[in-house]
Amino acid sequence: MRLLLFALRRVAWLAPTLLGVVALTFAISHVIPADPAALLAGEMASPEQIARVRAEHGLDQPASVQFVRYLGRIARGDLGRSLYTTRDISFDLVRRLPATLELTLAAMVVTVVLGIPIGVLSALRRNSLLDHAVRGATIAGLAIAAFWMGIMLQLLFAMTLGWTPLGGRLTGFPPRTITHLYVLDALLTGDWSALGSALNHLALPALTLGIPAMATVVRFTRAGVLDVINSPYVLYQRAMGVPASVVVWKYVLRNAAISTITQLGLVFGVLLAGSVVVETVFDWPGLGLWAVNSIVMSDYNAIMAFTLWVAVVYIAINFLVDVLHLLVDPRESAA
Amino acid sequence: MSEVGLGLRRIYEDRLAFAGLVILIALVVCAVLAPRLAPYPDDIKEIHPKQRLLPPSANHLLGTDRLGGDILSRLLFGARITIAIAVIAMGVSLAIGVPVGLVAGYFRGWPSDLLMRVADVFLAVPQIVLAIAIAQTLGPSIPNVILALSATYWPWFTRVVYAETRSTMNETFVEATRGLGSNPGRLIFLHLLPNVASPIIVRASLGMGFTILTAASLSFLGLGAEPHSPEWGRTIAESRAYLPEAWWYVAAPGIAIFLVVMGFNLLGDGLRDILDPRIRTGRAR
Amino acid sequence: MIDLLAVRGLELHFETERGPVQVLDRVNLSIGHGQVVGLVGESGCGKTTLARAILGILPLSARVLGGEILLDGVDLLRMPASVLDASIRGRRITFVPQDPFGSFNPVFTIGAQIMELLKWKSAGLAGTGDDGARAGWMPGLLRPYPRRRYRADRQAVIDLLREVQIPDPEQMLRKYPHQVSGGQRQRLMIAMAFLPRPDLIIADEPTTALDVTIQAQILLLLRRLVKEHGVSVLFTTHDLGTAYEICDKIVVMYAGQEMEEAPTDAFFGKPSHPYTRKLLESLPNPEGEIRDIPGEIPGLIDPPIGCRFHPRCPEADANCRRARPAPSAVGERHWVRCYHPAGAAQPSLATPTPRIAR
Repeated sequence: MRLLLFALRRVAWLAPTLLGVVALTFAISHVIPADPAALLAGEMASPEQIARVRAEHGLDQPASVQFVRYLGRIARGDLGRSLYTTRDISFDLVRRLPATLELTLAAMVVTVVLGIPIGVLSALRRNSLLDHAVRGATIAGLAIAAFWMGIMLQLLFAMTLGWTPLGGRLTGFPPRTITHLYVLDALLTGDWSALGSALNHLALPALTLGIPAMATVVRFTRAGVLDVINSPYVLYQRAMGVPASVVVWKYVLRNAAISTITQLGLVFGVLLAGSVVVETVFDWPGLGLWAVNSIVMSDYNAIMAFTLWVAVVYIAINFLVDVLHLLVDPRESAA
Repeated sequence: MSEVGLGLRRIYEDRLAFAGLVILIALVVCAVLAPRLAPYPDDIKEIHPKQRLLPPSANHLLGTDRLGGDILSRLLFGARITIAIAVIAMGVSLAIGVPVGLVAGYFRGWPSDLLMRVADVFLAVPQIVLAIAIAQTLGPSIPNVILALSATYWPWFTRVVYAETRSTMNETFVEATRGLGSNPGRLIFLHLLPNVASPIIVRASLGMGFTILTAASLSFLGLGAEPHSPEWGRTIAESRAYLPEAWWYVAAPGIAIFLVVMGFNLLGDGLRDILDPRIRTGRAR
Repeated sequence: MIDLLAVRGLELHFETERGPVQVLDRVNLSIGHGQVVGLVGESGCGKTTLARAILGILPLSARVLGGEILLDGVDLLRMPASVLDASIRGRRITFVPQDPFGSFNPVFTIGAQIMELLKWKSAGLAGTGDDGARAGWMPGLLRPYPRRRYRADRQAVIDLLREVQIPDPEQMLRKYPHQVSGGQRQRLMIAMAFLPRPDLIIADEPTTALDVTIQAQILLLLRRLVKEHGVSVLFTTHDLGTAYEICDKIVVMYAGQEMEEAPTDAFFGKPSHPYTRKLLESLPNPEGEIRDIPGEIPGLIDPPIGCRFHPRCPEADANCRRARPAPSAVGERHWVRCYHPAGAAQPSLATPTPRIAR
């Protein structure tokens, strides 16, 4: 019950921010130097045709009116028409979504499964050789341009060693569609050759996307564990002789996990942002690549829709993380 | 010893921060003296088709690119672009973000909330995505990249300054002065300045690295530097067509980016440790 | 009768960037069976460090340079960590911390934390041949809590919580630390210190963080339990009044050196060390005057040679600056380390007004 109230309060708080983002994208899209009506009408259009298109799309109305109509359309899920493909943008978006989802999930797995244990060990063996190496690696990891690392990985593993393909999502026929996620579908249908191909294609992009995020995860996991280890309650348990292994793995980890959860939203943001470049480098047919193609084609509508979409997802994920934190931390829920 | 002197001394003692500082000084030197240091300073404009894609050698320490230009020379000129982008973008972000934070922190009520909400809106979109939207809309060019970066980074400064200002405003001496009927404005200012300077400096230093990476990414995507600019991200993009044979073409600019961002991160981390008194004295017992 | 605990010549440094901090200078201390010893001194005098050294929970930068800590004749400093963990900590020696709030893990219930302690340390383990805290072949994490012992322990917890006057113990076990008041938390801490049936309890400023009104209650409780269970206590505090209420014997420390040791009545009746006298003088007297001690506690990276009080001592002379005085007796079981202890005919100083009847 309290949870519901919290959730509602949070949503009420977030709604203006969301509105603000919509307004922002609207504002940006209205700064374009080109005439959107002319773009819609096409290169060969005559001035009368352009004027007609303008009236049709309500582009001759004042900005405030246009904004309200824009809001209305968005609320209905209509993100406009692509200036390039002339299809509904929402259609394109949904079609490209699974690829990005699969990539992001894979990167998340890499980040969390590798990052958290490394962070924990680094904190437990503070100032040891391992710790210094890890800290150095995280600082380096945060300094490498993701797109460059992707290209270098391609250079090494795909071009030179030939272990992985150069790009794309799959070679050969995709597995039967259940979830639209190739790895999952291949597993579910027992399509081993598709599974192998999908994993092979996923390897480098997931690493490229995951490793910079991993640096962030290792850092704050380490900080979280250190914080807990130096706390009076850990001191008390050790003073009373509770075995160190129990103190660390049962208690310290739980406390650190709670503080880690709040940071997961941040990680997701890093992954979202990175997907644009990574998909470009690896020709991964997801939303990021779609956005970049739209850049090349000057498809303003698509870019705005993409921006809006990313913002909504980011806000939603942060909201979920907040709720999760509330569920997990007794200090919050019982208050 | 003056404050600055003490500060510099502490940087020297912190090995990593010092290394960062050294790297950055080297960067600035390279950028400023690029025309002098570059073995082939004209290669940013001239092309030498007969010398395309040569591997590293004594004549060309880092090899040549697709138009025969010396990569080392072009990298040095690219450093100028990198520094310009980073410094200007950060400067504009500061110029916007700090005053907004100060105002939001000083006043209470809805103007303050509104300002912070606006900041939240900008922060709700991952920086590169918003920068893409802005840069795309305005047209690909370096000034537009700078604009896009400034427009997306200022909220970080606002947050930091707001927190500091608010906490100063909540201090008892402010209430006391107000209670006595006088205006604590000057007092606040004097008290606030040293407190707020540290987080700003740290954030600026860390932000530089991040900004450089984002700028390089934007150029890589075609939204920043124009074709055949010596800008590092652009160079990487153009090098892709010639891989794997011309590996030096892609490795050099990438390593340059890495070193520079490392420099800023090391300095920023070091400054954070130095400027945060809690961390320094924390190990007392 | 052999003392339960004897600290002999303990010398301890902390390593810091600016050099070693000489926190304890060959300190001696003895605690008898069933005796409550008060370790009194200002902040930074080393009393907390000494208490922690006995438990072995010193910070990583601590170095023991010499001396021994004998529990029933066995040197704890030379005991392997695993044995210390298993048989001494939480078994024979328990701990009441200064900060009752921070010492509870905020995300686990109180009951969970108490039972965790008893899983490894309950009195029911003694004599069963099952040394619960020893790792054995199963890693600590996987070791189960046998049902019968669990139930017995849980009942013991409920009973003891009643003894410390926690209303509705069953309900208390289900609560989280932030739902409990400061006084109750400290009662819980005290209960946890008694549950394993220890020989010695180390109470590190247990009432300092509490309201004055609660302090008296806690002291009364502690004294009653100590007498009932016959446990020894090492009670550190900077407040002489508190020490007076509850201790059988008082030891004064200054800057890492113990200065005077006496049974409580003798301590207050015939204080002999100049520092002790200054401390007592600084208690507010009936007229409400306050006199403090001029000067400052010395930095311990480069401490004064000899008796460390000499820079502030009105009686100091060349001897004091040269070498630290050996203990000399000024009464029955009353020792002082001073070249110029106060004589017998001294104006009597204010005795603290007792808050609880002795």
